[in-house]
Amino acid sequence: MRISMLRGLEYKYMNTFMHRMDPRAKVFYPIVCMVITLLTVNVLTLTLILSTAILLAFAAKTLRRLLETLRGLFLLTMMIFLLNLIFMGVERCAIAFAYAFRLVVLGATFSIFFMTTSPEDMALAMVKVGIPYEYALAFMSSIRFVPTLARDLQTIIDAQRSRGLELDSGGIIQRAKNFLPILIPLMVFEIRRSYRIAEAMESRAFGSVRKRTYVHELRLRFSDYVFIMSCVIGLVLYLFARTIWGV
Amino acid sequence: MRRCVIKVKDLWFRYEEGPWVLKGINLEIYEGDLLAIMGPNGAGKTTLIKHFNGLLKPVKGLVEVMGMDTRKVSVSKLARYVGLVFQNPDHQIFAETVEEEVAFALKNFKFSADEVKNRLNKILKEMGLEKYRRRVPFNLSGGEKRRVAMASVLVYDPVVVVFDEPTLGQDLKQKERLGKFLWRLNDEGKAIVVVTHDVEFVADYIDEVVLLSDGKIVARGRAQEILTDRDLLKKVRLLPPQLAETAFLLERTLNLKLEGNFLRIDGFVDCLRRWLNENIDAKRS
Repeated sequence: MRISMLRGLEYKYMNTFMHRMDPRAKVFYPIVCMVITLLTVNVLTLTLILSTAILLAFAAKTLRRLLETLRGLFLLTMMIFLLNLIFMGVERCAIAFAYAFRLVVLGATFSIFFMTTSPEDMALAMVKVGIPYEYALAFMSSIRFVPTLARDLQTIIDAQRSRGLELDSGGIIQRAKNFLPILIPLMVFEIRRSYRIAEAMESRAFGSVRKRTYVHELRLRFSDYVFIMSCVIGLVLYLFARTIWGV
Repeated sequence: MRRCVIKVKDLWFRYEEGPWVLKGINLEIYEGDLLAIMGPNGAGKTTLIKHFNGLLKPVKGLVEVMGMDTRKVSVSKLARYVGLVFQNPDHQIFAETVEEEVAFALKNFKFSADEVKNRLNKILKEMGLEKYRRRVPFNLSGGEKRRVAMASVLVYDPVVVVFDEPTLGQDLKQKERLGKFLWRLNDEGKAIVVVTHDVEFVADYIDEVVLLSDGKIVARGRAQEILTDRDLLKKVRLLPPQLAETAFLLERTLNLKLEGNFLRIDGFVDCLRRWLNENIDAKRS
C-alpha cells in the first residue's frame, strides 16, 4: 500500500459543481455504485461505472489525484487478483480479475466523494440525518486527520530508514516484522495526539451545551435532486438490465 | 588534507509536480566541519538534509556521500555514513527498552553481538542513559527521549551527523549540554550539520553558517560574519543574536566599534576591553 492511496481521502477546496453539491445528494453516487459493483462481476459494467467516476473526477478537476489514488491501490489490487487466482484456479481468471477490478471501482467512486466533500459538510450532513454530533465529529476528525496521518507515517518511515531499516528485505514474515518499527511509533503518536486534541477541545467548552447551533446550514437545491434522481435511475436501469441480460 | 564527505552539485528538487523546493544548491561538507543550516520556514532546509542520506533523490543535479552517488546507493548503505537525528524523538521510538531502541541501527547494520554490546555500553554511558537502559523509552521525559534518539544514531559512529532542530523546546541547561556535546563530536573529527532557527545557539556553539532562502543558498561563511550582517539576516527573516545587537547599539550610540569575534560573551568582553584599552591609551597620550 502506497501513501498516495490516502490522497483519495484528502479534500481540497475548489469551486466546481461536485464541490458545491449537498453531501446528502452526493453520497448517493458512491452508494449506488457500491451496490452495483457488489452485485456484478461483469467487467463491462464495472468499466462503465469507472468511466462515470473518471468523468465526474474530470468535471471536479480531481482527475490527477484520482489516478494517483488508483496507482496507490495497484499493489493491493494485484494481491487480490493473485490470491483469487490461487484459490479459484487459473480457469476462473476472468472472475479473479473482476474481483480485483471491483476494488478499483469502489476506490474511485468513494474517493470522488471524499475528495470533493469537506469534512465539515460531511459532519453537517450526518447531523441532518439524525446522527448525534459527537459521532459525526468523530467521523469528521478521522477523515480530516488522514493527511496528517500520512505525513506522520512518512516521517516515521524516514526516521527508521535513516537507522538502516530496510522495509523490503527478507521473506514474507520478516517483511511483516519490518513494519513493527513503523506501526508502533505511529500508534503511540496518534493516540497521544488524540488526547491532546480532546484536551484542547474540552478547554474550549466542547460538550457544555446539549443543543448546538451551526454557522452553515445545508439545503438541498434543484440540481441536488436532479443528481439523486440520476443515481436512482442508473440503479433501476442496472437492475432492469440484470434481470434481462444477467449482467 | 580533510576529506570531502558530502558534495552537493547543482541540486534541484521538487515533490512530485509541485514547485521547485531546492533550486541549484551547491555545497561541500568536509570532515571536521561544524555547520549550521539556517533560513526561514519553507526555505528547504529539511528537504536538503534528507538528500544527505538518500531519503530524497535529486530531480536534477548530484549529491555524493563519501564519493557515492546517492541515486545509485540504498538509504541503508548511506545511513551507515550519515546519521540523521530527527526533530521529534516520538517519530522513531518503538522498542520496549532503551537499550533495544539504541541497538536498533546496530542490528540493522549487522554488527556482531559483541560489538553491539560494547558499543551499547559505551554510548549509554556517554549519554548518561545507563540507569535507564531497561526502562520503557515511551515513559521518559522529553529531554531523555531526545538523548535516546541521539544515542541510537551516534552508536553506529557515522562520519557525518545531521541534527534537525535539536534545540526546539529545550531549556538553557539542555542547550548548553547539547552544544558541548556537539563540540566533542566535532573534536573526534566528525562533520556536524545542525538545522536550526536558534541564532543564540549558533552564535554560542557553531563555527560556520549556511543561509538558505527560497531553495537557494544566499550566503555561507563564518558565524561571526553571517550573524552580524543585519541586512542578510533580515532577508532570511532571522533576528541577530543579542550580543550582535548590543554591538550595533554601541556603535550607533557611542561610536564604539568592536573588532573581532564578539558573538560569544567571553569574546565580547575581550573586544570591549581591547577597545577601551586602545581608546583610553590614545586619549591619555
